[in-house]
Amino acid sequence: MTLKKILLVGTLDSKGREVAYLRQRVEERGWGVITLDVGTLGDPMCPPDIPQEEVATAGGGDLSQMKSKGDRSYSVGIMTQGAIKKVAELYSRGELAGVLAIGGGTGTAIGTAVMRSLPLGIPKVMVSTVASRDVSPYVGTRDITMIHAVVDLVGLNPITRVTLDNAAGAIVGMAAGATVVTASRPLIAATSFGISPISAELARPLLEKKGYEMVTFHANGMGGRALEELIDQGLFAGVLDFVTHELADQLYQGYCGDIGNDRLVTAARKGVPIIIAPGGLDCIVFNSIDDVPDKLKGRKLHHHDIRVAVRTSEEELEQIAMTMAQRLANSRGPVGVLIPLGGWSEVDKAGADLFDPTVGQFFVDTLKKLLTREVSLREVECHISDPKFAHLAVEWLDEMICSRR
Amino acid sequence: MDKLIIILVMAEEKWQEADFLCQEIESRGYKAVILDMGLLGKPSGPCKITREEIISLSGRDIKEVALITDRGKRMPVMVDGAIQKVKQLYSGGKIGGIISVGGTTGTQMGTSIMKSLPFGVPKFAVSSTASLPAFAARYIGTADITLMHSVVEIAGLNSLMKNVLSRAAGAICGMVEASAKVPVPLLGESKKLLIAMTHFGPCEECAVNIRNLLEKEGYEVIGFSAAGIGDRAMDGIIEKQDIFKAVIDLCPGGIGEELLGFTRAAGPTRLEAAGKKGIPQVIAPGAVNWGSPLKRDYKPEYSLRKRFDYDALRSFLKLSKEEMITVADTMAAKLNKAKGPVKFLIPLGGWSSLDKRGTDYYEPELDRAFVDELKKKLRPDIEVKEVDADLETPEFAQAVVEALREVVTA
Repeated sequence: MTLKKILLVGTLDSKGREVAYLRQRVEERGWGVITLDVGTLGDPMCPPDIPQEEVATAGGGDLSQMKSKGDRSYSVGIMTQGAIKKVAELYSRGELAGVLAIGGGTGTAIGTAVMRSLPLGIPKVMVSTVASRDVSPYVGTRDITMIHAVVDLVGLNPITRVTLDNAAGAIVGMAAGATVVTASRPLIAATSFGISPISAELARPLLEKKGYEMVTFHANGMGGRALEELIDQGLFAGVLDFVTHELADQLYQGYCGDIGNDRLVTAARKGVPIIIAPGGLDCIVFNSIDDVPDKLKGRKLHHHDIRVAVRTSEEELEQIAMTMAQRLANSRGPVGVLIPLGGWSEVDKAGADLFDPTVGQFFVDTLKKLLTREVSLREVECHISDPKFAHLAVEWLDEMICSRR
Repeated sequence: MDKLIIILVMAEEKWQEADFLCQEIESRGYKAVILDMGLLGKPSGPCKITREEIISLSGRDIKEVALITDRGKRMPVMVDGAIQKVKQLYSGGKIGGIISVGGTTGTQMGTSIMKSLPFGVPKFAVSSTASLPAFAARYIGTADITLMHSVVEIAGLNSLMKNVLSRAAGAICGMVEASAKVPVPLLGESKKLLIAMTHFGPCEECAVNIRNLLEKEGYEVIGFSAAGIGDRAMDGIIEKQDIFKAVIDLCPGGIGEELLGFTRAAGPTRLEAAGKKGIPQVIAPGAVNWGSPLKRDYKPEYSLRKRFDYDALRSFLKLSKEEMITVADTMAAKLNKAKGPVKFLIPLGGWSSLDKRGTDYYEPELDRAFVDELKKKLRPDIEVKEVDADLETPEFAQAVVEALREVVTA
């Protein structure tokens, strides 16, 4: 514990005073500090522990050349890569208790890139003047905490001192807590979604009875990507992917559509047992009625709040079935597809706005034709929110996991 | 520490998590209370501040509220009531910090409640939707709110969730301890005179030069990032609190960005607050000739413009002559309403580090179109002073400081 230190990342040519102040504040609280300089314009205002030359070299660049060249985005790229390398060294030596970075736009881009290279659980605090914007490129799928600086970080004044003190308090408070994710029981990942089913909630007690612990991901675009990344980190013994709705949104860049191309891929690649259900594939969700493309107008609609859900067609489901089959082919572990014939969300059941069992059946038939032999598909005569469905999913996953032991 | 940390939660959904957070905070020697801002259903466990108390503080009749079955319509009732409660506790000196745990609805409500507390009171939101595009902007606005991405869905206490909540508890306790040590000074009583100044990366050297000169004269400079939020926050503070002696609006690009629908848009009232309050101001056109539209909004004609890739996430495009004239026109109209003295300084050798004289990006004829329009439209008593240097030079900074001296003594 005492050997571990808090890493401070910043451009010491422009934010050296703030970094020096943070160092003092963190040290006062009894923690060691390592400063890492990612500046390339001028000389550092305070002595760094890891100087800019060293970071540039680690990133495959040459500082004096970068200074004379003056190509900003090139320098930022080199310093980002270099900082990630230096931090990986510290982390692998077990010296890292947490990362605190400060910056404006550029400093935030570098600082959060460093944080994103570290696993879940290591405290990550970014003091940023651009925290109150679209932070999805900065935070992404990671457990990064953003402190909004409100005022610009140029020099110490009565306002910035308050913010910096808060930041020092926050990182030390976090570092003093648990930083290693420890699970006493095997973890199962599940997906959920607002208008989609309660399958995950129904599965929880069933899994707990069998000695598992369940972690839920909100399949809203970011959640699906986080799920894939944490499967990759090896955290889960199995996956109940009840909600694959993101695949439908991706067809039209809907509300949850920003998922990249890795959805469903990781478990198959890593050989982690997975059950997949069509939760929410009955609809494509848009931020508002104005965002619905002309092509989809006239379809069955459901108003959620300001968001609207549009019924998926046979054509779209065929496309999704193709994507699913392709991504699950050559899986290294057991994969099961479990389809409830009575509807796939709260708005797709008898009497609800988007209910359409014919289209649902079409999807099942199409998928059956496309799936490779190693993937098995089972149909269930009930709605996805029926306790029977969750029960079957849990039993099936448990069988898969047990047969591998 | 006898002050309280308030935990904001919808207790019908996430009481368990709030309760765990409460224990984690108390194990660190701080006192915490759960405030139930729940909408429907029943709280899953006891809350020190009940939803009934919150509803009655909202001024609504509890029986009447019970008839509202629409979640969306209950939200403002709970937010209003919780703001009343939190303000009462704050004015009684009882609040050390505030933290919320939630998904979209819980974070939306929680951060709305936090915004009623002044700058400096630790405000922390643990949210499963912190990283969704545009959500952080909505949650934080111009306030000093800290946002932690929970990564996993806040639905049950599993080992990942406990790890996240334990770190959140550590952070809020650390912040409460820090804010007791370094409180926000009563700014009116600050020993030094405070100057507000807008900042933007490509004009940073100028900002540094100005600050160094002003500090020698005994001023303290508070910088606000002109990225569309900080500059708005500056105008907000100017309007609500009398703390600044003068304003240097070095980078008022948010006005053009607003007009053109770009990413640094600073709202329709930007550049008006200081004028309204009669605070002296010096304006410069730092990077006003650059725009930052989203790449997906690029129009075909943008390929003809000069473009600067600033870092992996940001690219800037030069404004067209027509756009420059529109922006000058709007800025003049805003400044013409000012009740206090105003001076506008123009560096003739380029308006940022990107378009210095001698670079490919220096286009004096475009800058000139702006200046001509500005001079034509500004009130005659507002001086437009041209300085034959680029914005990032010491000469220009010197000229800004001289102009400031003049407006302050005017």
